[in-house]
Amino acid sequence: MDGLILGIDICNEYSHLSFYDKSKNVPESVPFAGEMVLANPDTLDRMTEQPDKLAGHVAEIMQTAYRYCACNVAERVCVAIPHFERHIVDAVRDAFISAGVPDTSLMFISHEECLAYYAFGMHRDLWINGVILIDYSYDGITGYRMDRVAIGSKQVIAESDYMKDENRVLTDEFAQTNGAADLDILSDILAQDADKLIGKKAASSVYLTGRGFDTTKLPDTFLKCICNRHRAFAGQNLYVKGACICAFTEVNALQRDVIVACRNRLPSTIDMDIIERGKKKIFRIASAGTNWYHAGRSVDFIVDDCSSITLHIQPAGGQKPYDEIVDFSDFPYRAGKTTRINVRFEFEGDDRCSVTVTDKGFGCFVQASWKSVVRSIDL
Amino acid sequence: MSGLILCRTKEAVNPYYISGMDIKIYSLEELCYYIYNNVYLIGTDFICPKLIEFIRSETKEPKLADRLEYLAGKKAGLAEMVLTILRYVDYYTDDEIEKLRGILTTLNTQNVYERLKTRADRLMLNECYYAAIRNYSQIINGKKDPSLSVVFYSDVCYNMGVAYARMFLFRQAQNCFNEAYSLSRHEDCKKAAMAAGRLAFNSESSGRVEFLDEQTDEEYVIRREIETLMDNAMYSDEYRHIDDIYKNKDKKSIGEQIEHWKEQYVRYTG
Repeated sequence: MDGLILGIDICNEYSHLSFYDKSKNVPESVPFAGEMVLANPDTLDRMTEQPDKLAGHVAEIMQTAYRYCACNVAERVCVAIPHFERHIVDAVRDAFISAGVPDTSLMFISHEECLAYYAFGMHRDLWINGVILIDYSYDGITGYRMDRVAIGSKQVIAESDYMKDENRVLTDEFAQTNGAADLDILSDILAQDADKLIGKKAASSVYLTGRGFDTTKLPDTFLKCICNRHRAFAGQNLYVKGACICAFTEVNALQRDVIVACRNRLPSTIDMDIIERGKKKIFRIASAGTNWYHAGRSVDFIVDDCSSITLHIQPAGGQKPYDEIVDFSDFPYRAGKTTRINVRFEFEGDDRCSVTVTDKGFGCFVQASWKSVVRSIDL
Repeated sequence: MSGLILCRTKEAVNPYYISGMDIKIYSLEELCYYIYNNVYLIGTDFICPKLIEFIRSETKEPKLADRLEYLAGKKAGLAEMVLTILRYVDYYTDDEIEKLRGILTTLNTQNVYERLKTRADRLMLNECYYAAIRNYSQIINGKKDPSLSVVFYSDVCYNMGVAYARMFLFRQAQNCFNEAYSLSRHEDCKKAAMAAGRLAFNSESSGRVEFLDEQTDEEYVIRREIETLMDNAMYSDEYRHIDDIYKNKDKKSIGEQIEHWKEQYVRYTG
């Protein structure tokens, strides 16, 4: 399949679009009628309650992509969503499906993941000592640091020093005046925030993004702080290009030895013991670095004289592995491999996994009790 | 080794129905379980196009379906086809499959009538009486095999009699027991024939048990045995259960009991 590889960033107020230019091997932004952003018809939060409106918005984005790239097939679409919550992602997913994008072509990531893909997709010199992001948007000021470190045979992109100042919320008036005046007022605060992130340890690059930084002039104190011993970049398409790089990476199965261990990515690998042809084997449920929204799965097993599941949790950060046992001894005992169980792994965030084990009986040979055991596991 | 076996194949939405046994198969694991536990019942006709289509489209295993189709095309033996299924699905261990291979090899060396009887006996165990009678009839109505003993044929008649009796067809049961007795002169066959005769008389005379013409001590003993069994039946769990339903007139319980009898009947006559 040789369709489009798209990155789409659906923020609360605006949406961005980019496609992967395979000839140049870079993500390129796609304009909407001359503008680099498309204003959402309503905030994304509200549109999740209005599926038709959201579907219309998504359809417009997709039509723009098809028209601009002169191609009507999307091979992979990676959608960045700032408030990465299940009900929002589900609503956006439904909108894309109704716009004709196959579910199998869709993937969803958070802004933190976008930064990881964008910043660490750049030249080595731009990330070797870590990168810092400061995002000034309608939600306030968010900042964090990311470093790529070697742990065993894997490279781990880890996030740290996360800070969020929700009191500095960007207003519509701010956006209309291009923010210069407000930024001057906030200069000291921004400089303090930047200093908190940069002060401890030097970084290779500092990225500024969000509508708050959509200006041609940054306050001097702040500028001095971020440019001292760092390379600083300001732009509005960082997330959308990061999403596009993520889509390209997935399609081409690149960077298999790199674990992105930032917010909204699982911090641990989950394995479980199984028996295969009479021999003990390990079955991988979810790998560290997988986006939690995509990590859920449902698997059936035949129970052969046992009453519990042993899960092996291996943190990617090099911490000590540990086991979790899910006991289902309340299910009726049946000899001779005549119990089929369903084990469902569900994630509502990157730090917790819910395991549900259900007795399905064994066809018409053994009636199911449909008893269930639910266990929540901290990761 | 205990543990969990990963189910790699899909569960069917539309099950495969094994009519002779009134069994629905939803997965390849269930198919393996059925084969393993009913190997005496299975003939080469079991691996039919319908089963292959079920494997292909319902369990989404075209590779296995293709393999079975190929084997059926070249008229492979039952053992080869059955072992192909068992090896494909991770349900039985290699040791368990080897054990079954031994049984299949033995079956291959058995006389055709011996296999038919083994199959019929297994159907009896599964309460599939009509199917069992069909298999026993093939032996009785087939060409007599001089290598088989009289006792073998007597056993076939006796078992067929039991199958009829369990379907309340006592007159046919009596005939079978008489035939068994004429072959083996075994006392149990005679007693069974007399009992079936009495029960046939009972059912043919509107439920009234009347033993008016006992001619021998033997018949008297049989009568007493039947009466004792009937008296004791009142204390069985099944009798009590039905008695409770009758007394309580609970529509749900009555419905469930009738449903149970219907299922039993379907299995008897399947």
